[in-house]
Amino acid sequence: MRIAPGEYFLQGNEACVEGAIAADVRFFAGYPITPSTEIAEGLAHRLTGKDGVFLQMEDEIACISAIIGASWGGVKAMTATSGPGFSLMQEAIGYAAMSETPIVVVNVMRGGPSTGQPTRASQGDVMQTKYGSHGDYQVIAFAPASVQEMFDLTVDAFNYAEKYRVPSFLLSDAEVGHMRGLLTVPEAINVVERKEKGLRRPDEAYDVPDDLVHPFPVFGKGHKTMITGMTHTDKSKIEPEDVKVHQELVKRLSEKILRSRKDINKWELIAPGSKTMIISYGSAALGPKEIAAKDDRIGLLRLKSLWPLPEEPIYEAARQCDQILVCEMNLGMMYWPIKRIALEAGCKRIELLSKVGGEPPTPSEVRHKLREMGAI
Amino acid sequence: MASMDRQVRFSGFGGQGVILMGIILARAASLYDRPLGEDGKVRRKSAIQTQSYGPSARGGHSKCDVKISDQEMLYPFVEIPDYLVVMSQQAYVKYIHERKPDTKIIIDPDLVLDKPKGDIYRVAATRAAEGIGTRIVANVVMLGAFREISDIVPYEAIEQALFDTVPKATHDLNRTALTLGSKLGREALEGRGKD
Repeated sequence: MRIAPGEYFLQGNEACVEGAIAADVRFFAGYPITPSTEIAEGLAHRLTGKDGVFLQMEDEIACISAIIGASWGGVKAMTATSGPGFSLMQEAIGYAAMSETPIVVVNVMRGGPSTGQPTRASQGDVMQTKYGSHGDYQVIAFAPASVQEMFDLTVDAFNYAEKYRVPSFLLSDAEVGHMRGLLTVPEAINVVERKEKGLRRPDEAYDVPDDLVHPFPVFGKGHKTMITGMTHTDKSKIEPEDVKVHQELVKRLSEKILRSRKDINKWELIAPGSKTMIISYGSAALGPKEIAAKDDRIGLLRLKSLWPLPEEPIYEAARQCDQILVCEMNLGMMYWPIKRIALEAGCKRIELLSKVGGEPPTPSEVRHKLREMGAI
Repeated sequence: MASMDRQVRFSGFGGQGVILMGIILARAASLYDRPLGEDGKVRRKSAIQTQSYGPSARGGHSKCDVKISDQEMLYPFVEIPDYLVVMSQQAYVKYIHERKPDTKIIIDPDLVLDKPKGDIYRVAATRAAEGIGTRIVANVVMLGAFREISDIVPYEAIEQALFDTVPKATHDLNRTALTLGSKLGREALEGRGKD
């Protein structure tokens, strides 16, 4: 079923489809929206009933609700969307976080707000991914910058969703989703299976050393199973009036992710120790990547995961440099948490190159900004 | 060895298959072009195809970029093309200014009304495609001409990538279109600067 090891020339969105299949996705519910539609189209071809279920729903609220249900039914489930579709999903993202449901949501970001630029790239949803639903919660989010990473990080998104029982996101954008290039599919792909309750495998206890993540009681396997978005105890008893139960639950939902930052976070480092470091992610990081590879005065920290915030690599980069340039395709979003960490690390100057309008910053635009900063 | 990037832009109107031209070129460079280096080792190329299109699929402008690098791809987007292929007047007006003095410009003279100066190659791809029965393969004729003029990838690599990309029942037609394009490309090389 999964794509054979080897080399392929694929679109980013097609590589995401292959990554999902490789990670064992068995259920997709979607609603077509540019620039994510190729993911739904691809999975419609792959999940044909025998190998899994593809549903086109009436809207994006139905999509995310359906995948939450499918996940509780015991299968790996995902949806893919963009812009307004992602906004519609926000309430249920909180429900998935509260009910600790592993799901994967791919958001191929386009220019907003509202209908905005359907065919153009942006990184305007990075904060919405973490803060879009009400209440305190944590999620996991990856930011691919190539066709290969559309595959690799989709597999990771599934693995971490299962490992931590949490909504997990692939924050791509129109440029990365639509670009075509080489995908190398390896022989071995690490796939994390669901940590079901009561499987009683001898190695069960070693699956997740972090005991904040409870094993999953799956429908139809003899467990008393209750799912709720209301405040509940570890035994799924509803206790919305109990101060301590709520404190414990909400803190655990956050802690299980935050304490595992080192396990989850991924990044690429070019020329660490350079006097000027660029910190960027996704397609916005590609112009900086060319500069960092060719100019030894400039380094790059490219974040491959955005949530939980990769505090340690940002701190380390900031500690060793004189100034930082954050590049992103919004008016400044990740800039603020990065600036907070950089200041804590003693870096005094943190600048922003912000580009909206639908195109990643070009190498010449980045060089222009670096010249302004006296870095080159 | 210093890395060498080649930047190519195909442009025209929606429905001509402009984006397919870029897909075939980038696929050829990614999968089928394995030149031997001076040390006798096979060299890899990396190629990325990107595109831009308006919200309307047909009739609007269409642009497809391909960047090919001898080494790992860093910035995959085309800034100023080394080769600009133009298959409509609208695309000509939109993209002709994004060029360097030595950018090679390949135009279909039946579709582009302007007579630009510079390093110009005229390839009447649409008329030639009609001559072999259907203008639907004008893009493949133009791709064959582009390959001949640019010599960025070997003919065999383009042909293999073409067959990977188009339906099997059309392989003969597409092969005819590609070889016809190669011939027109050679003629354009020879006739360059003569008018």
